[in-house]
Amino acid sequence: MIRLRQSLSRQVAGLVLATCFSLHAVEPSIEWRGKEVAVTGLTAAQVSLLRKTSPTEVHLSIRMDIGLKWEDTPSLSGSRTLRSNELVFRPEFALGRGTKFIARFRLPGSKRFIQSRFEVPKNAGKPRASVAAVYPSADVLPENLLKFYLHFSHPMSRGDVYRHITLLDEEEIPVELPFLEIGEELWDPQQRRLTLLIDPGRVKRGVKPLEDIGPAMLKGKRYTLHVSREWQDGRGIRMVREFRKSFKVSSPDRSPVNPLAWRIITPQPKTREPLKLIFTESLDHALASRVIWIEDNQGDAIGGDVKLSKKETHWHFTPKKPWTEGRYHLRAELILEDLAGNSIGRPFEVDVFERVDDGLKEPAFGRAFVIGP
Amino acid sequence: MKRNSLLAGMAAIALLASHVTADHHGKGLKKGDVKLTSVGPIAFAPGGVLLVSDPKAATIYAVATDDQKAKGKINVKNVNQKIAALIGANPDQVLIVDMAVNPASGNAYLAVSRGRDANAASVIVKASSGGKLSTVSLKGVKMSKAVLPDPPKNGMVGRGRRRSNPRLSSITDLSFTDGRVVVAGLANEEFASTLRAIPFPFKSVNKATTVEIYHGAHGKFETHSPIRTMVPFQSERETRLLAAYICTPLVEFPVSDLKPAAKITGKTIAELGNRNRPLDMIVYQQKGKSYLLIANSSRGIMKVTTDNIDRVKSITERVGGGGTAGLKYETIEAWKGVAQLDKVNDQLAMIIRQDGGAVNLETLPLP
Repeated sequence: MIRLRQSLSRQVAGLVLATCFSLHAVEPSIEWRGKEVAVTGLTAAQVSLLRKTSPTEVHLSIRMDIGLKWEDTPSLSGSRTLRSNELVFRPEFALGRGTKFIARFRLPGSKRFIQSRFEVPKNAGKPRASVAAVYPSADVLPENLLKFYLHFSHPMSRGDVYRHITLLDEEEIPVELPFLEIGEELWDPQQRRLTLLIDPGRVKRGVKPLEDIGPAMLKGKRYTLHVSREWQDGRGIRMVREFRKSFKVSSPDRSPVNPLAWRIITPQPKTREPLKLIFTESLDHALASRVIWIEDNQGDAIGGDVKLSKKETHWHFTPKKPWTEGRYHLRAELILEDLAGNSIGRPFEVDVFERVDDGLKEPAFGRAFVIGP
Repeated sequence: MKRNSLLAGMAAIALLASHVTADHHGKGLKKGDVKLTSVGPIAFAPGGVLLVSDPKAATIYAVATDDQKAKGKINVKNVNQKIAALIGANPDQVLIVDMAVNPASGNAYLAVSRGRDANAASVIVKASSGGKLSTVSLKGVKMSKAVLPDPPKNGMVGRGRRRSNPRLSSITDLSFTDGRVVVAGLANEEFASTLRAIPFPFKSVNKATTVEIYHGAHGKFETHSPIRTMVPFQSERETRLLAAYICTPLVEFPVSDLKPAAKITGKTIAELGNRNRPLDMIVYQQKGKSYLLIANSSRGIMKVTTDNIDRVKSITERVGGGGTAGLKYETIEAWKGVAQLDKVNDQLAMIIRQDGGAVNLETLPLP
């Protein structure tokens, strides 16, 4: 805490003489103790006067120094209590790093006040956050790609993420409004993963943005996803370095995910070898990690760990306990998506003239396989 | 309700006598603490009951405000800075997430995130008579809550299967209509959009109706379509929900369509134009006619005539050249930069907008 200044002020200019006399008395002083402001050195008479009316904003007012006039600045929200010969103010919320404030105490029974300025130290620390991974990890992506996942090494700050992310074309010129900019910002609870949706208006056929300004990305062209170093982490400190992911754009993908076409590579019984699935295309990293699982023949899910590899086309499942011989079921929720938002049995866009129906009425996909002879 | 006052007693906290009494919607509320882990959209149910969404906890809280009637128009210049001053934060650490006007009192309630990190505090700030700002205490208030079911719902009975099942939904809007709290959500993994209608007062969230919303583009293709903002609207025949999808079209459907597991394809009644995102909507009456006001990201506020809303045909033809189709609207250029919008009554609206370097809360006559 830096104490900047304590000053005596006078509300009435003509009271200079009276003020000079009063200076002979011991003045209370104002301290900032990190979590509370305390007026110390009160006389018994002053405490008694304060106790009569109970201390309010009239007696002790704390106002943040935000560049507005004192009278235009709301009083800081908090509570005031009298403790022996101290008047203590505790803010409702811990004060923000780097904030400045003024505490003004009016002497009981007088129009005079004393005031002090304080400053809460800024967040110190070196940059440490960086982009740890971006999915999809492939370097060729469909023209109707629906989303990116940005994974960070440390929790990040929210509120203006779209200012820091750009999609650059081959000439390094930013593509205009490629992302769906939503105020909520789709974060995980720790704010270490951001879901970045490509504006569906520029993916979906037959809607205005796509028809008028075209897709965000064009087949055959190369683009770079750029993340600025100025993006601050949760502590308010910028990143270690910028991030770039360059990729080429292929034809749009409008086919649903088809788990019947996946290859299942079964492990040996009595081992903890991974069971491997080989997809026919890259799948959504988050969903492929979460919504595919293995059940035993009784319908109980097998515990274990999932990993994805080879541009999210390979799924590896390592069980907690060794495999036993027998029949198993591969299960997947129907919400599983590929890179273009097509899900199991249902493309992202359904052609209502050609569609018979969704086809799959089960809540989840199931396919049996056997481990062992 | 809590307020810091020049005249109040020690600690400056006083529970004020209720001037706005809760009607039957206040029933079912019990004294308790609301502990927000995050704050999303807010809205009001009748009787001054504040509905607050907590997207991280996938919970909707109902809180009795016991509000006092506002006197005069409420205006707050530099509202973001003043909120920062009230809660001891740097102005750049104050995110105004949503604003709702209590129809029972005329006071504005603001959902505020204090900080930008994952542990940011969530605060409800009230702007009342004379532009006074105060934090709304959520301790020892009359409240109830509805916890939304986990969004991934398909076949999730596997015993011990799930290593973790994080709450995935963001809540994009919240509205009260016909005795139900309507919640629009967006997942951060699957591109799913759901609309839940929860009977209010909350009894059992199991009674929530979950419907899937689709966008039928020009009658040929249809996709899931998350809702950005919505508002109930009383047409000649029935209560309808007007909803703006996150990708521009304005759609409508009858509230009676919100049936369990229903699949709704909204009828596109207007396109809002390119490079333009809907932000907030209100409906109001003027000289016996209903109008819809849409705050949006790139132009002045849009005033839509709703005369023929029951009869307007769905937009099925291509709308070319950056033009628009469907319901007619005029753009009120004087209302540019509106980020938050709510109705005070049929004459006045409250807005929050950027004006030069300042962010102001203003009460304006409806256009």
